Amino acid sequence: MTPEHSMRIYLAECMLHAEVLDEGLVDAKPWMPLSSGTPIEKEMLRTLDQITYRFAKLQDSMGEKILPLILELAQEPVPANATFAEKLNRLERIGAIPSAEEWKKLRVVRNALAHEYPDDPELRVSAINRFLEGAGTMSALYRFARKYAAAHFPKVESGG
Amino acid sequence: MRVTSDQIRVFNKFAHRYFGEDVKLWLFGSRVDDMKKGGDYDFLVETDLIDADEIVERKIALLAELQGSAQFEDEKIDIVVKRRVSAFEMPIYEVAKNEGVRI
Repeated sequence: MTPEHSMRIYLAECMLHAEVLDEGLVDAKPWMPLSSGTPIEKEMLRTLDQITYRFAKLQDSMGEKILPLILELAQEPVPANATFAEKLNRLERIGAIPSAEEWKKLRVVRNALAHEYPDDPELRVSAINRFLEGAGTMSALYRFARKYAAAHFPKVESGG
Repeated sequence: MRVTSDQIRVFNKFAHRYFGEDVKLWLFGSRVDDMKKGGDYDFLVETDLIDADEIVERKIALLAELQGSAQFEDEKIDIVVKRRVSAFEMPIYEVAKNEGVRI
């Protein structure tokens, strides 16, 4: 399998995560942003669970598959022992992701609801709102990288 | 305490950077217990900051910074933020202060 072929498969896999994530965000829209005092209904929890799952899946698949492959296809010379943070900086520099810093924050944001200790209710509401905002950012980040791949690696689109 | 002095130093440095010089910090939970093994790192951060959105943003930045540091790489860190001036008094604050260690 050529790297272009692999990229096409990974992009499609991530597209599914991004679409289901976006659908979750559409469902969340009527009660966004949450204000303190709003009870979290079961239906809202289900939506949050769906978003949490796809958010994590999308970021993991992008981080493990798409981003390394972009560096490979772009023929960016990255040392074999480069850390992931170094790869993120390189991806930002070539314009494949908007911000390495944001990517690292999203890793934290996506776990914001899996907090072990019950938080001050106002902080909890802020964390949920930040989480939903981050989920939207994650989806946009995927589309950004996808656009980059389409513009820079024509063979990915054409099937070559 | 099952934390290295380097971990304490790094946590202090970043907690002060994101939550200000008047921040008070505790380590609590399983890492305080010398008899246990492994486990998450649980910290209590007491701050003068009031705005909930701002606190959440700073907490995210602090966690991202810690997870990017060599000292906490691949470790699970939980941070509880207590607002010094707040209507909410969560039970965990007292537990963390009483059973934890000020760092």
